[in-house]
This record gives sequence, structure tokens and C-alpha cells, in this order.
Amino acid sequence: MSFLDAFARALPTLGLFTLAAIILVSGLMVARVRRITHAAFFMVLAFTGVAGVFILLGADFLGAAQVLIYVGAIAVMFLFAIMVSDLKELSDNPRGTAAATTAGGASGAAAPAARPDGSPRGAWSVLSGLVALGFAGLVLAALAKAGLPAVEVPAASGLPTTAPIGRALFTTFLLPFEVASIVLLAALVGAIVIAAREVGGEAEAKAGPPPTSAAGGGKGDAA
Amino acid sequence: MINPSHAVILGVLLFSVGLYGALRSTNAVRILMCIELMLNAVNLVFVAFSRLRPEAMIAGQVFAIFIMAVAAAEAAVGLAIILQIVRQRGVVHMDKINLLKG
Repeated sequence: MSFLDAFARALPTLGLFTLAAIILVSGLMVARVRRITHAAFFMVLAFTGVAGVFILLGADFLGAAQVLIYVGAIAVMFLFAIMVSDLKELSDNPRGTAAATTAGGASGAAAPAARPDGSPRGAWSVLSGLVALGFAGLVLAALAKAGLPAVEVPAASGLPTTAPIGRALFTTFLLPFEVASIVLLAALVGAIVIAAREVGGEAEAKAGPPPTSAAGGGKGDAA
Repeated sequence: MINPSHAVILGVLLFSVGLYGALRSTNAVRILMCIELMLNAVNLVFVAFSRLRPEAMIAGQVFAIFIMAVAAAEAAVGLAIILQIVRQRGVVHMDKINLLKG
């Protein structure tokens, strides 16, 4: 009985560690996997894991918002952009060498060190890994020096946080809330304007938009 | 029971993974993905610290919501710019986008 009790007490920590492993591995896959579509799906996995950590930390509204916004909107937007611009053929190699590696098939995947670009890319990859490791070491050392508190809080308990968040958004954080809505509106209009412009449309834009560019605008809305 | 300090450490590690990917890759879409991961890591740290201080619990979550809004705006504009670059020049490689030779 006491063993079951201890297990039930350790369950949230076990869940946190499992989610952490999933998040970190899929984050590494986003950085390293060769095909950009696979990277997008690993990004979805990482976002879902972060939503799980939010729920474990008692932020239930934020977990739901994470699933809705990141998994539902941003990841789908990335996939749409990959599909519309036909980026899936282009891996991290330039266009000519990408064809060579896909022709190489499994052998190219088995030996990623032998890139046609030569050693500078590999050296750059190692350097960026060192920079990221140095950053993590620096911040963790600073946190250890400051002393992270070892308090234990109950996992995913308490009242639902939706009502307090809504109250705070419309009282304390009213001005940032309105500014955020203006930022979202401006970004939406800007994204449509940027993505709807057709190639070679500068002369047409000077002469006034013909009806063909309106058809292109409908295509750009997908992004 | 759960220790929010573990989530802080997870946020730091996820941020450095995103930093690694953003520095390493030359594909513009992948760089945007890694930036999204870094923003997510910051959200994680905000929520974990707000859990450590009960009087600031709602404020930290509201900050995370604002970061989500900014991330959505950034992804929309960034992907539109990448789409336009692909249409005009046919590349997504940051090394090849060198019209302004800096």
C-alpha cells in the first residue's frame, strides 16, 4: 500500500521526465533530420510535449492554447508553406547536391559526414553545437549559483486558471492585450500582402492590379 | 508532487537545442521552426517560474499567452517572406540569398 502511495506520488515527476525526453529528442530531430517535412512533424511532437508539461505545471488553459495555437495553427501553417512552395525536395544541401544525395539514396543517408559541400558545413555544425552547449552550461551554472528552490508543488491541481487569466487580461494587462491584437492584425495583413504578390508583378503593380493577380491572392491566403 | 525547477532546466535545454538548430541549418524554414522551439522554451520557463511564486501565477501565464501571439505573428510574416523568396529566386538557402553581399 505504501509502495503504491509512493508510486502515485512519483508519477508526475516520472511524467515530466518522460515528456522532457520526448521534447528534447524531437527538438534535436527538428534540428538534424534531413527532410524538412519530417522536421515539421517532429516540431508538432515537441509542441505537444510542451503542452503536457504545461498541464503538469497546473496551467491547464495554457496547455489547451498550446495545442490549439501551435499544433493546430502554426504547424499547419508550416506544412502549408512547405507544400505550396514545394520545399520538400530541398534539404539542407543546395539544389544540385540535393539531387545527388537523393540519387545516392540510403548510402547518402548513412554517411552524412561525406557532404558534397565539403568540410566547412561540418565545421560550422560542430561550432554551432559548441555554442549551444556553452549557452546551456552558462545558464545552468548561473541557475545553480542562484540556487533553484527545491519546493514541490502539487501537479495539475487547484482551480481552473481560465477565469483568473481572463480577468487579468481585461484588467491588469488590458493595454498589452490590445497592443497584441493590433500586432496580430498587422501581421495578418502584412503576411497576406507579402505572400499574395506574384513573381514579376512589379510592373503590374505600378499599372494597377489586373484580375489575374487577384487569383494569385487567393493562392497566397493559404500561407 | 512535482518540482518546477525541473521544468526550468528543461526550458534551458530546449532553448539551447533550438539555438543549435537555428545556428546550424541553412534552410530558412528550418530556422523558423527552431525559433519557434526557442519561443516555446521561454514559455516553459515563464510558466515554471510562475508556479514557483504563487502570487505571480496568473501573470506568468498571461506573459506566455502574449509570447504565443507574437510567435504566431512572427511565423506568419516569416513564412510569407520565405514563400516570396522561393517564388522569386527559387532557393530557401540562407547561403544563396546573397543579393546584398554583406
